[in-house]
Amino acid sequence: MSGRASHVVSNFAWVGEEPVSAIDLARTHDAAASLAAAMGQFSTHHVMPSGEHVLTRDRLGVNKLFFAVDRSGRVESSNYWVDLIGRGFAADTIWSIPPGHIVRLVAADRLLTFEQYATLEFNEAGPMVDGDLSDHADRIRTALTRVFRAIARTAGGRRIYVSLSGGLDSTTIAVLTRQLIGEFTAVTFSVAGADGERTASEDYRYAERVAAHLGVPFEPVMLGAAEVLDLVDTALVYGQDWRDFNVHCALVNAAIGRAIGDLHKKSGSPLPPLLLTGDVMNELVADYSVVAYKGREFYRLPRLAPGRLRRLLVSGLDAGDREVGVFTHFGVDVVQPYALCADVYAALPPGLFETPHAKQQLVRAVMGDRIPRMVYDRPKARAQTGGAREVGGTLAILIEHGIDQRALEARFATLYDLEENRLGEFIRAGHYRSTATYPN
Amino acid sequence: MPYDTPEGLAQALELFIRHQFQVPPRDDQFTRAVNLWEAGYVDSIGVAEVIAFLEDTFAVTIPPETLFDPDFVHIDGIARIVHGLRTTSRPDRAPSGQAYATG
Repeated sequence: MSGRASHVVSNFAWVGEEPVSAIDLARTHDAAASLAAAMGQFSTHHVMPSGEHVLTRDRLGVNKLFFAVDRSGRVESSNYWVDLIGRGFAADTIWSIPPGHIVRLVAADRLLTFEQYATLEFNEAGPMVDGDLSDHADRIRTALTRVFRAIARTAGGRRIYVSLSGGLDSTTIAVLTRQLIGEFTAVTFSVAGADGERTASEDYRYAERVAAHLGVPFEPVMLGAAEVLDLVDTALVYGQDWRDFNVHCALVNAAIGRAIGDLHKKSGSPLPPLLLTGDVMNELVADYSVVAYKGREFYRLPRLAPGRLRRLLVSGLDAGDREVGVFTHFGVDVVQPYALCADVYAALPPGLFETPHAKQQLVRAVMGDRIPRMVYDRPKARAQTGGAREVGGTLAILIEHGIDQRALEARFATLYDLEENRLGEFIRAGHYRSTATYPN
Repeated sequence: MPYDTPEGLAQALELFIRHQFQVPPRDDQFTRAVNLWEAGYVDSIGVAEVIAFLEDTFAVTIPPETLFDPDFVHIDGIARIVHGLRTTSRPDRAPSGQAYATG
């Protein structure tokens, strides 16, 4: 993997709605308290005058951060695992900073300290009672408004894009962006027909209507199978994961990221583009299910109650970089508004998720008529499958070309110079490998 | 068997794994020392189910770095780790004595 240049992932942090520097927070006397009080997606590494290395990562682990130490005490870090391999570190000397942690390293003393400065507390207690939904919706609306106002203060002068599939999550992001930030371009992925025919996917049709409803430009990104396959290595390397769900998502995002990068170059804007997405919502409300395609099941989930499952899914955001890593590779900064107010979603009672159409209920309570009715009425769809009624998208393309889970693992191992049978030592149960003791 | 000994924890975990992952009763390869992940008894999704079982049954939080402990591959090792989490406060694991906030 040596020779692959990577970008540095941008940090975003706010105290209240005021943009602040994440590295400045990490440098304060009480970094744990400063970071815990902030909202953001960031990862930082700085060296104190004493020689101590201080590495931090945001509460959900939206931004990734890896470090390695060699025998001479050289400490290096990167947002991308492969960067460290490219700099000569062996794979088994590379470690991740866990979400919500501060890690301090003093190489001269072979000392590592490990401090968790923030966690996400989940409501695991109970059923929905009358009035609950309305109360939670009020809190979520307030939190989302705060998040979008904060993003607006960061966005000044940048061109804004929204990754829009026409589903509930991304439409909510689009509506709030239009209302609280302003003009943006909606970007939607769709697979072109086998002969390059521009057949609009279900996502395309819904997203186009939402964009028209909001009066914003609509930019479809239509790729044929060959073009999608060309992006597989990019998705694996910069998505930093081999698990099929995340790879299929990363492929969609690679196509969108490349298109935004190209659009942006033509715009002549000196500032990097800023993309807002609806990612993380599905983890926060455990809105995932198995997908059947040609007699096989994909995206299998742990057999857990929905309330328990969401805690696991959110903690599993530690590993996999299907959005930030991939978009950054194409020069696109990305912000995930739902991740920034995860606490109000984590406070939802698990009983909600046992009711039919839980997400529709929740979004309707939060957003009301600001979301077009057709979006509420639309059956659940995922960008990587293309629509609700028929499975297509990147999932179908890969499977039709023999690129199943096993093939993704083999290719990832090759790209990362790993032994395939050791992949589980690097990602396990949704976590990148980390250490609470000084690496040997 | 109480959960205040590694043996008690191991027994409960073995029962869970046998049931959850349908390990045949006469599978001679399945022992408390076998590498659950490499031997294929528990796949990548199943690891998450094991973690949920450990956390919910034994009232512990499995920190991410624990998943990569060389012992966190077999029943006896996992039981020892969980026993340690139940009986040892986490600050002991930080060489500088810096507090490990558990939130």
